[in-house]
Amino acid sequence: METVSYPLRIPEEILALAKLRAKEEYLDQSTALRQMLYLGAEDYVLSLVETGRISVGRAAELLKTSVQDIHRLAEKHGMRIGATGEQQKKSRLTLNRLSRK
Amino acid sequence: MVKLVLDADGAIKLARAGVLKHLAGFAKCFMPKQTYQEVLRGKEKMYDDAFIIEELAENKEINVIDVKAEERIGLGPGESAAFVLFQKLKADAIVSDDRKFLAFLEEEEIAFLTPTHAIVLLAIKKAVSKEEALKSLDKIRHLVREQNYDEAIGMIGGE
Repeated sequence: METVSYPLRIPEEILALAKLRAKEEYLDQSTALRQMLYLGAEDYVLSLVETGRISVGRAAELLKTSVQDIHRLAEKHGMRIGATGEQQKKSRLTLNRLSRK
Repeated sequence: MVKLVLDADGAIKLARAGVLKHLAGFAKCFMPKQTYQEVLRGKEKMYDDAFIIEELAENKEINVIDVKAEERIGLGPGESAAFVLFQKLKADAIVSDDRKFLAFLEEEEIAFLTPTHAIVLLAIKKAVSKEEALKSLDKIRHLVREQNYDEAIGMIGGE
């Protein structure tokens, strides 16, 4: 993933957490911070998928990952991101039509 | 013969369910190149479905078509291209379980089929047995909404 530098004021407590994570996971502090930021972005993107604001394909594009990874992440977060009840009803109309073909 | 356009979400779920090959035998299945590329990204992390779809495409059981599609807000390149391909082919439906994409298709009045209903269709048309259909639904139970899974099970005649 391409990175850009961005000036940011960070609460001391978050920085302390990043230090702890860096120490425990043998990372440098910036990497630990970036990882925490990415995890937050992941949650946010999944919530956008769950509420139907973006597609799975767009989510994969935003997180620079695969559609399969989006499915895995959604499952990990206990999210079911499939068709709504109303959409399933419309799909049933197609099913009825195709089953007569 | 029924003509279906697959998006990445639909193709991946049906490949995991183990019925994509059966669907490709029952209907003419198409996929835009952009969708195919999205699916193949899964090979980097060794997702089985990506290899299954690649094999079906290489054997021409799924036709991968190059189309130009403009970017649409909230959709990925694969979904936008699937919409264009549907129109170009005058296909019968798009197979997807992607909430945002389906909402877009509803607005455009495009027919769609969810993966659970695609499995029901295969069972109705006897392209797979009832037992196979029930097993395949179980394989993707964790990937679809519980109500949609239950409905499909009921339609096939499971418990």
